[in-house]
Amino acid sequence: MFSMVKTVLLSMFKRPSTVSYPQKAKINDPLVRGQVTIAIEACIFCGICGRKCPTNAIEISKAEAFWQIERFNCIQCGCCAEVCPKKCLAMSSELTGASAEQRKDKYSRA
Amino acid sequence: MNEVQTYRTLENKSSLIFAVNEMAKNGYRLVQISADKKEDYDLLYSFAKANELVNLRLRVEADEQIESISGIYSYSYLYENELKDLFGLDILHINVDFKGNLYHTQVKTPFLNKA
Amino acid sequence: MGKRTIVPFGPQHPVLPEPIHLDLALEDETVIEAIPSIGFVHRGLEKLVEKKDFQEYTYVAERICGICSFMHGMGYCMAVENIMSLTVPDRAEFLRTIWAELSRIHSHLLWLGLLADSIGFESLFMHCWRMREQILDLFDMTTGGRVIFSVCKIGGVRKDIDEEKLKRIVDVLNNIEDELRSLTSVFLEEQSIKGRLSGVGVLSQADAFGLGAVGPMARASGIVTDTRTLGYSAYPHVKFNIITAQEGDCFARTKVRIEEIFEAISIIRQCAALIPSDTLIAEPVKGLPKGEYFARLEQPRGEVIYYVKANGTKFLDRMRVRTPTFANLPALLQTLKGSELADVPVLVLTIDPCISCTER
Repeated sequence: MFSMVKTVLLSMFKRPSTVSYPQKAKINDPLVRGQVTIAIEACIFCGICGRKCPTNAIEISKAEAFWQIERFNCIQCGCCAEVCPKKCLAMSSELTGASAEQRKDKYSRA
Repeated sequence: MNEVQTYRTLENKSSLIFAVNEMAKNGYRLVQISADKKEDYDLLYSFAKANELVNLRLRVEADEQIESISGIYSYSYLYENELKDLFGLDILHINVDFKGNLYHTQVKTPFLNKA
Repeated sequence: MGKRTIVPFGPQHPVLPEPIHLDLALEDETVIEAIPSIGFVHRGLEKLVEKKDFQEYTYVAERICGICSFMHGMGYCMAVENIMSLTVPDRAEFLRTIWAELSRIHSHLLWLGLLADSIGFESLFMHCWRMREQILDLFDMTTGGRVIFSVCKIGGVRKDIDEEKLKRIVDVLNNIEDELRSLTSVFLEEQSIKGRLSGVGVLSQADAFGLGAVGPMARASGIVTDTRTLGYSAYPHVKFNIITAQEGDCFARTKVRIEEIFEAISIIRQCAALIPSDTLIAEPVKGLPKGEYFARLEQPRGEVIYYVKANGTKFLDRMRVRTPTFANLPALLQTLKGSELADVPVLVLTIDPCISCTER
């Protein structure tokens, strides 16, 4: 009985355990695998990331010099960033925002 | 690791029931039954007791029928129905036979053919 | 003889987050037979090994299930490592053990919450899940993912936990231990919970063995079985007790799982103290696997089996996963026989069903 009163009182005066998300941004640890980012100037279009990608989300063309990712096919495993020989791929801790459509991001060297 | 794994190949399917009976008598529990299909089926019956794992291997022709071991291990019916549904292996006299209705898959016997 | 009816249970049901279908044959209110059918989330992941490089497949293996994702990756890696006779560095083994036990805590807390929810104790459900959230934050902090860690790889692990973070893990766990003690008294002493769970769905020791039950389900029926005693990973270096109970009812299963959380906390503490301070966390993979191996390890739900057959190319011949829920289904069907219809949701829940594991 008394332990219950204690719990009730604690819950009344404690701050909520949840974060009121859209109003207050959630700060992710830098380690969090959010989305793949590319430094396109350093990319040599070798295509290893595309071959190693478990979901085949990455498409690369050496001739046209572009690197393209299907954002919602990506499973954020970080495999591409690990195998990249030039280390131009990285995982940023920012998440891909929700969307009703498939989102393709194309990066090309101008 | 103090695990001991042994593999034993059974000569033919008639020695299966005898060998499985022996395992049951010695207090082993059935761990799993799995199959691999190339030209013929490669079946593995695994039994465990403490840190021991014994695997009985049985080769079965593609169109051959085998006896169920559910008379000895009553809970083998799930594994056997699984083999039936995924690999299309014909297993006779299962104590609870789902007749291909355990797995609701779009393609019948999806694991039958190698890619 | 009463009136006979057949009541379909599932695939969508409030207590089940995942789809399993049971046809319940009832006589008045009593279940006389339950017939399962599965396959609603069959994804053919076992077949996918024929098309995916064995190293990439680790990512797929982890995605078999969302709760014990780490242990799926670990089981797959253990099997391949054994075939290739790779020795995993000691530090990686300890890290794996820490993550595996954290997964156990989070899975059991999740289950306790679901149990409280299924018997209508909403606030207890919230408290369990609030505590579980702290564990998920630890995952976020150490691996970079809340549910899927992608941290296990063949030969070791991909991320290290530094001193500071290890200390933080232990701190959080100390906190959780205190909180959990007060929740334990609610679960194990509260009259309404006791009344709802004791004596329901009794699985005798003989039945548990005869139906091949594994994990907490078997241990709650008095069978001393724990795959961790095989001594894989860092388990030979730590001391832990195998928690068992004799009654074999839903209450015993709750008790076993709660005590396992405390046991897991103690294992992580020992690991944090014993972890070697070398920097090597992964052995490079050379060559291709050839051979076959059964990896057995203890998931939160029981023993999981990973069978890998490799043929010397980069694609595996066959991979087979036998998950604990699959092994526990016959025992569940046995306990369902003779139970009341109103008890069915609680009974289905106490085996801690994970359907996406079961069907792969």
